[in-house]
Amino acid sequence: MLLRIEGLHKHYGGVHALDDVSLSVDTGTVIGLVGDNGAGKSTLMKCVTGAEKPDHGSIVFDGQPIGLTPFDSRQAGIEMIYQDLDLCLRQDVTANIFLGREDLVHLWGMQTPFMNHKAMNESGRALIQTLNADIDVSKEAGSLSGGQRQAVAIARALLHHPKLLVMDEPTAALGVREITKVLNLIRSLKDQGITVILISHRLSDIFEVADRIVMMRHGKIVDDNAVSETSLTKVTQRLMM
Amino acid sequence: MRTYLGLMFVGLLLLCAVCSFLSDVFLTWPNFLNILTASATIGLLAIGASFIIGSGGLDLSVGSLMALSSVVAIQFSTHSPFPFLQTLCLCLVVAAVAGGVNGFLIGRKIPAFIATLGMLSLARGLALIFSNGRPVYGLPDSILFLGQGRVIGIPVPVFIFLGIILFCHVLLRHTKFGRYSLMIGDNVNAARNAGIRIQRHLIWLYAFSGMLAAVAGLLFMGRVNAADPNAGMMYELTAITATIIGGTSLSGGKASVIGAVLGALIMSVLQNGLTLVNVPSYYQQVAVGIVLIVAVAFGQWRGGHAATN
Amino acid sequence: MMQLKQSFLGLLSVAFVMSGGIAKADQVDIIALISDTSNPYWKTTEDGLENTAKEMGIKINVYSLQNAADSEGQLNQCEAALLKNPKAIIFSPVDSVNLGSCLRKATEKKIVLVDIDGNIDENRVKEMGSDVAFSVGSNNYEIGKKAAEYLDGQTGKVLIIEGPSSSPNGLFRVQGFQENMGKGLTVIASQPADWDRLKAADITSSVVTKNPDLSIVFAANDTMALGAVEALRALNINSVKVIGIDGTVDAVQSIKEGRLTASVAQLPYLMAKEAIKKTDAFLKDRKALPFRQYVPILTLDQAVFERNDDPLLQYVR
Repeated sequence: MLLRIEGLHKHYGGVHALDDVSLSVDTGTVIGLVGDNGAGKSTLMKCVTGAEKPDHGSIVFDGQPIGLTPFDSRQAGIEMIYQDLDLCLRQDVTANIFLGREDLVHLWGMQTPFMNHKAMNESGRALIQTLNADIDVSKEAGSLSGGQRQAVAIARALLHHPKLLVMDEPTAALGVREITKVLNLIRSLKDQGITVILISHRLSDIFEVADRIVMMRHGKIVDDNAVSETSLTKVTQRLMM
Repeated sequence: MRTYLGLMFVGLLLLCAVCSFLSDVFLTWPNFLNILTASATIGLLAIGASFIIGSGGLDLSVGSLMALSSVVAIQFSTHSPFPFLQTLCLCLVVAAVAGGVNGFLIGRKIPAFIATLGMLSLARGLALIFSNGRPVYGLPDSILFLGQGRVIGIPVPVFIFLGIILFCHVLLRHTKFGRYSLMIGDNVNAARNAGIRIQRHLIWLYAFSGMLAAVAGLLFMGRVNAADPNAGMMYELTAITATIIGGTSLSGGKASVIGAVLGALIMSVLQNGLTLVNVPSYYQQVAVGIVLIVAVAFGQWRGGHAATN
Repeated sequence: MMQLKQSFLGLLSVAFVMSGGIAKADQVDIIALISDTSNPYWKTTEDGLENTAKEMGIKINVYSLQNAADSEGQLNQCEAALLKNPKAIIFSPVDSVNLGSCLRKATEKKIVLVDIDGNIDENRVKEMGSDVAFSVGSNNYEIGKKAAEYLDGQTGKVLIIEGPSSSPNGLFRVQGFQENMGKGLTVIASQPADWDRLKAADITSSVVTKNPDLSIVFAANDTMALGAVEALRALNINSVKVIGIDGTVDAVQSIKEGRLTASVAQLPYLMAKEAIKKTDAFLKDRKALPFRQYVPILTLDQAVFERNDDPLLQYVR
């Protein structure tokens, strides 16, 4: 058990954004989180990443109660990739992967103020390779395709050695071929033993990669099934209700 | 970017060829030193501008900070036992504090244009107040040495200029400070989410720009032998022009110290060459305008000027 | 990229080959460094320098500034001028020291230095190690005195509009005026308007409102005098006499139209002419002159223009 959420409540003014939400996630699984806009998916994930504080309830991650800030969650091994990816499009791939965590040159055991471009390029290239992506790390991020950008964002998240990766609509803005690539990326994450929570409107994507599918509505979890026990048609019908 | 810089360099050499064609004096060693010396002040400001513009900002106050820092430093160091050291430190500190205020305000969501426009006026006013509106004459010899001295036949400003070019190039390309400046200009949200403390960084960045202006002010006052409250008027715009000719994009995220220096050299060669050929100053302004537009347009045609990507 | 480099190298070699046979702009007898020619005073000076030099067959280059306060830019021009090895440099420095290092080098190279417009201090220049032959300009004290003499025998209240407190020329003008003012005149206010038209207008309006019996306004230059004229017209007051200094084109126009009473004209064209002539003479005979070489001044009013017989009028632009 990697993540256990129990009895979570969150109010925004008069809106009950999370209403007694409980959820458990096993290590190494991919969870698809679906639901209409305003169903509470994002609020739930923000509580997990520390960007929001719940009013009630507990979140236990990896055996420890979750910290209070995004920094704490990141330390504990939770990474989130937002829909806009947060890439600096005029910088090269390596710079994006290492943003905020640059390697510095060490001389005689002392840290210098100079960045170690060589080491960063090498580990950046290695990271990209573990994702089976074919990207030249010296290229500007702005010159990459949507799928490649997603790979860069994932590589950046992997640099923190996350146990849980939350991805918000990774395929929303992509074409069909690019979507396939991103889904392959998610599969390779799973192979590395990383737990993924995937927020998506595209049910077909979720059925491709997820083990479980969790549906939210009006701040509650209304459906929680293994993918093998349900079908695209059933879930679509439930969503329409 | 690299291609563009190459083209700029060729453009600079071409300009030199035309000038040497029209004046025998142009292509001489003393004139070469003249050009380098003359480009030092604007060059330093242009280097600062490349950092600032790369961060998606603008610093209009540098010309005024040149004047303020030199006037204040001289006023308070005349009777010091160590006039050189005290002038140097005061100059840097005054400009760094004023620049830090710029950075603080910009970090608090005041547009850089407004914050530094305010500082432009404020610092100029303070410079006039501290100096009573008159240039302060009679500087210590050590300061004059900074502007007028020579070591192995080469003017001291040239050494200072070269040293700072090297320092800033390394700072921009090889340290977190330089990289974060560009990241902030590229995507401020990404930088913030990556844990970069934007507000603190902006304070340091604008303080750094102020300190470059202070060094420019030191060279200026050493050269003209006066701490002049009217020093550096309009220099900020010349510096920005040089930076843009050098390939820096006004929209941030990209900058080059070498480019800024090339831009400053082009401006300096234009002014020197046109003076030697006895072209009236009105036409010199026209020439600078044409070069700016042609440089950016040419960059767009060949691809590579960051302003057009 | 390669093609560009090749064509560039080609161009460069052509340039070098041709440069031997072409007349260069380098041979020059006199180089003049003057201020900002968007100011009519300096534009007229430039014309005077160039025309006189042409008439006398002297090769001259005139370097002007884009901004009157650009002390570093002027220093750069001076350094460039040195390389052309002129026989003489005529200069009007932005401030009293900015050209110091360059003038010293010029002295070492035995280039004759002549100040124009009389802004430098003889002793200070000597201290800085340069040797200035003489200085051609108007006597600003004399200008103020001329203005006072013009009002001889008149009585009433006087407003003085000064230049900025940092300008020695402005101070001398006011001093010359005040020390030679007739007994019947009393100064009720003396305020600086920093050579600014609007500031002068504001000062005039407020003073004349407080003192409706004001009879004379003396301004230390024409720009401020014209500001005063406009302010008085706006208040519909025609009895106040306004006197300015410089004899600018605007001022002459205003005098002819009967608005400005008088202007003590400096004659920049004549100043430039004198500077060239005296420099040329000095280059030939090396005969030392007194340091201050004053240029005549001329009081302009409607009567002078009607008579139109003063030989100095040809220098009024």
